[in-house]
Amino acid sequence: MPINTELYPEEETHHNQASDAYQKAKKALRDERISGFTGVFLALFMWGHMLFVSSILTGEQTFNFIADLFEHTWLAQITIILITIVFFVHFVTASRKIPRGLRDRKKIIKLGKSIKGSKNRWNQEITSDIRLRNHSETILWIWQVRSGMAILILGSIHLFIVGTDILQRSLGGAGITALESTGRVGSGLWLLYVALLICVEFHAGVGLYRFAVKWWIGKQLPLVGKVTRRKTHLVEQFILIFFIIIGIVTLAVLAGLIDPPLESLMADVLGNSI
Amino acid sequence: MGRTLTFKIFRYNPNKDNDSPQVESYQMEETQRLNVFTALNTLRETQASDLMFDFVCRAGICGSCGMMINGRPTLACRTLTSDLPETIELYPLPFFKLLGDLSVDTGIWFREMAEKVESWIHTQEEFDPQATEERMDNDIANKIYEAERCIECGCCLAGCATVQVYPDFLGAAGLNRIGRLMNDPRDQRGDQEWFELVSTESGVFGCIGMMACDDVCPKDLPLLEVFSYIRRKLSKIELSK
Amino acid sequence: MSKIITTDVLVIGAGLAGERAAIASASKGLNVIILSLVPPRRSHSSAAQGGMQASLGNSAKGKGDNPTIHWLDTVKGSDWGADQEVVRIFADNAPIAMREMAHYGVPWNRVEGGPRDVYIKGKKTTIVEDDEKEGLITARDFGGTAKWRTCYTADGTGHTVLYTMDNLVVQHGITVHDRMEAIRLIHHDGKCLGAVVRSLRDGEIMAYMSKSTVIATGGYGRIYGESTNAIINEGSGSWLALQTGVVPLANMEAVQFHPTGIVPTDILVTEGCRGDGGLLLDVDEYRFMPDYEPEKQELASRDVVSRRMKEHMLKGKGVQSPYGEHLWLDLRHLGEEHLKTKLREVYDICMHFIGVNPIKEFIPVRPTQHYSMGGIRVNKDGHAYNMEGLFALGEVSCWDLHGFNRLGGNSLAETVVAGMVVGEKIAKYASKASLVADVGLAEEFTKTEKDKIARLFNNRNGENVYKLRNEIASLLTTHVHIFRFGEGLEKAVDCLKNIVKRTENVQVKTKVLGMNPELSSALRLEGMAKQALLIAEGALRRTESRGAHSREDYPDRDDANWLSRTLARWPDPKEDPIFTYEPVGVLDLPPGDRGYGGGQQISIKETIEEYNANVDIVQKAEGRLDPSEPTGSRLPKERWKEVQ
Repeated sequence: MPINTELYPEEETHHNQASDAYQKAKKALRDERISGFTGVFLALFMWGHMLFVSSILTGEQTFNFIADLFEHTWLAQITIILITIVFFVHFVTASRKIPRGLRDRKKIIKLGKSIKGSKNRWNQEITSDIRLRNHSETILWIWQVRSGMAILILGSIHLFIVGTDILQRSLGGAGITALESTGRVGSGLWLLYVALLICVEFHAGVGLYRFAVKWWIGKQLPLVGKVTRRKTHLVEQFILIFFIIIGIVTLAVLAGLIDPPLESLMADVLGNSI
Repeated sequence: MGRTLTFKIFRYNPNKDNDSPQVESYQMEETQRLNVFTALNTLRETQASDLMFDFVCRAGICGSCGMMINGRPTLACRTLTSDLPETIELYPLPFFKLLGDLSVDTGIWFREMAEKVESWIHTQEEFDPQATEERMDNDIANKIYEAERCIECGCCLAGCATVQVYPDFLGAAGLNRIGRLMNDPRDQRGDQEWFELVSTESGVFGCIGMMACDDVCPKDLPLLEVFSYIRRKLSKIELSK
Repeated sequence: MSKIITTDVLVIGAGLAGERAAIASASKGLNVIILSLVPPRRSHSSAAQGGMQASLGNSAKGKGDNPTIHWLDTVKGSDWGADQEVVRIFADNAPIAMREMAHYGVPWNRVEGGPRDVYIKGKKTTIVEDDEKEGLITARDFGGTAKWRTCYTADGTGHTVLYTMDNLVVQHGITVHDRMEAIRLIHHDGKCLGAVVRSLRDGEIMAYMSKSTVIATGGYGRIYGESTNAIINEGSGSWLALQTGVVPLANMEAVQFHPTGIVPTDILVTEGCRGDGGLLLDVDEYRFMPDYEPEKQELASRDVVSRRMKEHMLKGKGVQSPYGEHLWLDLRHLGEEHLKTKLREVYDICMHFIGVNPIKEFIPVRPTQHYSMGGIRVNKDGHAYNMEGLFALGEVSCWDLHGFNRLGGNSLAETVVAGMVVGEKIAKYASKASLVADVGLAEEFTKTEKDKIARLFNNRNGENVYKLRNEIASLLTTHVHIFRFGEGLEKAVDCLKNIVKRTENVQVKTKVLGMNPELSSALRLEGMAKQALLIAEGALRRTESRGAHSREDYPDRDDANWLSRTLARWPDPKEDPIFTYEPVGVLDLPPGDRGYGGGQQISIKETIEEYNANVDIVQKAEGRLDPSEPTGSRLPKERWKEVQ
């Protein structure tokens, strides 16, 4: 059955890197990569950030020490500029998928709710993939968009506040200190921070889960074996809960509601080492 | 056993003048081993002679009977009423063109998809009736078959929020087909061709990752694995240029 | 004025056979339109799981296989009812067709060199595959063959081949009009000019005019109601031919059954269940097979088991259910592991489709219609009798590859082989023929059909479509099943004659022209009733047992009187059909022992030479068009002696 090759003009069978199609394809890959990698970068940053902030749990001393170290070495200044840029790049590339029309967004919500019950039935083996629980990822995506929007606003405010702080330090001011942070959180801005904390951890958690599923599912990795949805989902859940707990406790300390729970521990360590 | 089932069925016939979409209720005694295929046929024979729905093989292989059963897209022929509550809501699959009641036009979409992805083996070699067949590793044959099992029922598309909003998106069924062809050593399309075909916003990067396709696929295809394979492959292609 | 669409080749039916034939024409540069009731990939071809027979001889258990052995198996399997020359054409071309499909993308399972464990008749055996054959198309075992020669792709052979074929259709840019039903052939003076077609989307009636028209619509299993066939297989293709009044349907009584279809959906569970030790139980949970077949018990051959099951149910030992009578298949003693691994498919089917867990429960089963050997009678080029420009292939045709019993795996292979062989002939015919776009004729035929629809709408207090359809099904299931005897058949014929008359008075309640399932069924009903009658009357007239046609009152295979093919025509729609008989074809392998079933064999009266001399003359008189090569030219003499 020979095929009539007239159907396929040469333009279509000869491909080169200058062709429109190729450039377009390249752009799509680039956008996907940028939105993905900036997201991963921001998530990793947020976890590091969280750990540094949570140093308040061991007392003001450590907190001030770390803050001072970063500002002194100009790391903080560089980071905040970098993060601000990445933050907005991520916003621009990741939001390219958000439907413009309200009607479209409603469609997604409706469908997401409708297919919630899509879990498999009797033949589900315990060892098999994630289907035992309800389908939630569609609705989660809507919440990802919402939390992303919230982060865009709340995060911008936070970046502005902290940015001013750090800038002050560069100009000879006090910079970030436990005292000031506590004051700020205690003064009512805690509301902003609780909201930001939950949005960020949720957004980062779900985002990373999605990222892992998009690029690594089915791949054999050392230690974890074959990457599956179940495994990635479990990891995501664990990290999410872990950081939200740390975050809440940290905020509680900063708000002066409780004393730093690990202060005595730190004192022991410091005491011993001195 | 012994339940009275209430079927709430979406009814609309676009060919009937002045007809408007509505939901009608039908009652029926549940019998043993009843599935939605048998139930719908009984309803048509006894209560609603004009009820439109599609079945062909009624054995889960032809992919005709995808519909929304209590909100989820699945095959009616392999859905048992005993797994459902007493009230069963039946809607046609969203996204596809409605032909009437529970019947939608999946054929046209899949034909267009096949044309878009040029869903045939691209080879310069002509078939030689006298020659022995070209050898192939059985593992590769099995791997191709794994993706080839797609029955084009359209459930993945009906469950996909992305495709509802961006109708150009190839969806899980389209990407799975591309993945199947990429794995086939007989297809002589080169890296660049694959890259241009699938590294696009209507291709694999149109996918937002809502994973509903994976949750609703009645054939349990490893769809997400296929997509991640394609993504990594495209990345490799681009990096090697 | 109805819409008229013209094309070179009109293919009705988009299963494997139809699509392969369409490709043959399209690659010759002809214009092709395929009509299909459903999107092509939904065709029933996709449901065939087993495989396709072709004597490639690559697997260890198929070593030394060749077309002659395949030919022998098939002729014996057909109980000498097949046309031996056609079988030869088929067996010779099957390996080519498999390789061709491999070339175009079917992921056939391949030979893996080295030893592996297989189960043969429930026993674990080790076979060693030839390293030199590594990577070539392998084969599995299927009933009734001397060698393993069934090519397969895991459990979805039909599916993968159909998808590959449909990809080729897309590649060739062949137009497919899906959700279209041909309801009448347009013909004049023994020449087919196209078809009247009804759109199942909006109900529009139009005319398609073509140089050659091809029917490839599959079997008529659904006339039986309980059938493993897809629900679209209602015999609408063979009805097109029968409607012409001149084209005969052949061997309609040759219907194959399968012992274990699950109830209510009639999906097959493999015969492996019985091979592995599954037991058949009746309403009292009593194991009845040893009473009938003390030696082989459940392991007796497919038709014997089916017959005994039916017989036992007739004794009132069946289990009553809302879906009709059935028996139980007990697999519980095989154990969970066995069911979840070796019989995984059975386990899945039961759990998915009827919610029965075979580890803990009995499976409801009954013998079910499975395959129809008969159909539109064509010559070896696939050209219909008495009708120039009309071709048929696949299950709808009686090319006559299967005779009175089809071997598993031959039918699926037939679709692509006939598509290849007959496809060439169709293309050749269409290239030479000229298009007769007779507008007046088209209008006349479409008008008749429109009037018919109007009549169905206007009938007052008429018959209910679904009720009548169920009556036909129940008559066939009761009297014209595996277990046939004169009295029952006579009753069936009488009742069916009455039903044929009643179909005129069918009333369609839903008066919408669009996609109207009631109207669609009503339009098919006359064809179903008439074909049911042909099945019943053919079975009544054939006073012998041959292949799948087994008469309890005539258990012998009677070659003296019945080494013939039934031809049934319906010249006057108001009168009774006409039955004639023709020789099965040129004989090379003399009728002998089929190696299965009971009964005696009554020898042929004349010599083989005398029989053969008669073939051409009688067939021609029955209206066979001259094939492109003389009768018997493709049948090498006595090659079979080399392998026996």
